[in-house]
Amino acid sequence: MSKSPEATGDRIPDNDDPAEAPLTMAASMILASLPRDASTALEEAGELAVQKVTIRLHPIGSAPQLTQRQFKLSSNQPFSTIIRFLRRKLAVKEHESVFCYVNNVFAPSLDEGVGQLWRCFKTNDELVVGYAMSPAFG
Amino acid sequence: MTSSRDLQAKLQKTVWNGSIPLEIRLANADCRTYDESDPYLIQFPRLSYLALLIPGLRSFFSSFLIHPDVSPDETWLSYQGVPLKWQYPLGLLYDLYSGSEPAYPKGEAEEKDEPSQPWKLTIHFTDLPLEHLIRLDVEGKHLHDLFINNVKEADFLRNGTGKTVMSLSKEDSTQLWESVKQHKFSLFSPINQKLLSPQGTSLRHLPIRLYLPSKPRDDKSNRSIRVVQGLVPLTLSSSRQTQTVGTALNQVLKPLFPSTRTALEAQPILHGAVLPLSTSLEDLVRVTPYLDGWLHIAIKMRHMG
Repeated sequence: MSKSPEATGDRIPDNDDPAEAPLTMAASMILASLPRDASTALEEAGELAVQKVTIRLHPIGSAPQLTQRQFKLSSNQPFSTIIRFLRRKLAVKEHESVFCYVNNVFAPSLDEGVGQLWRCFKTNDELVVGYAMSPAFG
Repeated sequence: MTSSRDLQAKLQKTVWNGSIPLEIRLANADCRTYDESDPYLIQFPRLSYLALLIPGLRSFFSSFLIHPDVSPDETWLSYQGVPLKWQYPLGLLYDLYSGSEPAYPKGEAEEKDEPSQPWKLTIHFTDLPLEHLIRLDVEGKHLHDLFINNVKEADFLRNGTGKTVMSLSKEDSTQLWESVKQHKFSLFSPINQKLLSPQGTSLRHLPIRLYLPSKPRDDKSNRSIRVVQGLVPLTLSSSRQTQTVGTALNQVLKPLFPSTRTALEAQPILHGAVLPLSTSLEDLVRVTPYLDGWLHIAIKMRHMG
């Protein structure tokens, strides 16, 4: 079955090609010679125990409502995946913006990991993200 | 008894004054004489942001540009081909990417805390890699937004709300950003004190962000950076013992730091120095945070044998 980006229902589709922050040659030399157990420890450290986390989306101000507000999302996705999803759901035009805030306080950088944000800021096991069509909480 | 406070003041000053010599060259693709432009040399604070250099860099390189009229918001910097994120302070970028040896505690650290060789960066005026970098604007509004949102996120971790930073007066907020732009301690310190000592509450969690080298899932040839943060309380919930660097790393990155006292496979680097695991994390948050309130700690794997 092909994966359609619209076939979501209750989940936010992954961005299959999120840009990872590259590492320089100068800093990555040592990694080639790591013993296997050290490599494994490095890969596992800080990873979330859960693969998917729950996101709750709510409109701020005059932003349009969504019929569904609760979604599942892979924990390894960057925050930009939520913004992309919202732009499509709300049919935001090219020149318009969506502004997203965690707990109505701060706008994470686009590259912050959803799982990391969920771990630090969740309420009742949900990461609460408000969205607005113009900047709020300046 | 004065010693502890004196030591903290001294450390704070050392971190504030920490700087890195930079040699910035124009990317060949943007240079009308291919590779013959002069380098831009500057000693720049570790705590500050490279984006603040852009106006000076633009006027310095304008006579060498193939297209002198390119829009300033296309400007970006790289090291060994890796785009340097605007929201990362210079010291973090250096600790992550330069590959230079950190300073170790015990003696030798004091003599060699400043790198003598300049860090050689490349400036580009075209082809901004938007998958990695945010487009800045001429007024510096986007850079300010990146900064202030990191300040708010740190505040939310410390207090469980964003009230302290959101209730700063307009003057205080302006002063905080001015302190960053001018790198002026006398402007920064009073606002930072307000943020770290909220009225009527005590701090809950310590804002630390850990940067790990990592292997992308599908591409074996490239390495990347993975960022990890966790909820780190001020004291250990079990024993009410002070949270140290070691206990926090053991909690957040357990496979890499199985011991709270000894770093075997990896070591934490802050402001160019290896952190002793016994250091109180709250002391670091209060005395040597980055300007956005975070401890941005690079995790470096150790050479074995």
